[in-house]
Amino acid sequence: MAHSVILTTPMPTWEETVARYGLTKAEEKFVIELVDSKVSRRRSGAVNNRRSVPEKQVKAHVAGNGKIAGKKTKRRRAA
Amino acid sequence: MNIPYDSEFRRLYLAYITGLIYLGLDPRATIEISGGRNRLEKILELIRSCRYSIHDLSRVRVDRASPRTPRFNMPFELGLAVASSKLDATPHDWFVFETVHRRVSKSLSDLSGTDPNIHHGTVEGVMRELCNSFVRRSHHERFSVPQMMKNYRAVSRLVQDIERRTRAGSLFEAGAFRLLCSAARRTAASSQGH
Repeated sequence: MAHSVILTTPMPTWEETVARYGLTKAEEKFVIELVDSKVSRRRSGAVNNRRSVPEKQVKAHVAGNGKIAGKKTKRRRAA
Repeated sequence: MNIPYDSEFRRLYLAYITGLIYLGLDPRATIEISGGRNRLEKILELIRSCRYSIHDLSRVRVDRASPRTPRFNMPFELGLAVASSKLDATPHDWFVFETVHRRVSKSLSDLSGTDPNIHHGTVEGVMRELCNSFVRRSHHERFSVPQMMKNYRAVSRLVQDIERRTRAGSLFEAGAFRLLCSAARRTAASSQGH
């Protein structure tokens, strides 16, 4: 046929989806938790944020001295 | 959706489901129909209950399992949809999807004069052809293929959990199909900010 049709029907709500697929309470809970844990949190950045570089390492890198920020040298400790 | 149910087609099956749901459509498939003597009537009912049907004629080759045969289900169901669109009072639009250019004109020459949607056997191709077939605009812009691909990748991450939960041998089973569609709907809603 190869033509375009314009969709004007409203997007279904979650309640309509649950009714359409006849999800039980347990199935609905499973789907919500699954999507929230693997999609929604990832999109919000919550998962990626956990992988951020710790602040101390960033400071050491910025200083360029190879030392971890706040660590005393032998000389300073001796003094 | 009138598509082949085999493991080779799994990625495209997922693409059709996520793409159609992203566009706000409600995918129906013969997977939902239980077996029995009235299977043909149920298929016809299913076609009649749908405003649109998509017929993927990618599998025109002879399969490996003995006895080696081509699969006639897809072209047969396309015939039912064409008849329904011509004879029934309720409107019905059908779309033919294919992998290879100009193959339909050889495998099903009765369709000459209709242009199939060629997806080249890729997920992105399916999304592109769905966007060509169905137009829906959000508040500011038309739904796009990159958005649909993001959604596809998100839904792909859920598949293992759904298979584990339903203990399904494959995604081509009624239980897995139900959970997959509802998870795809929720994923689409989250990306569209509903």
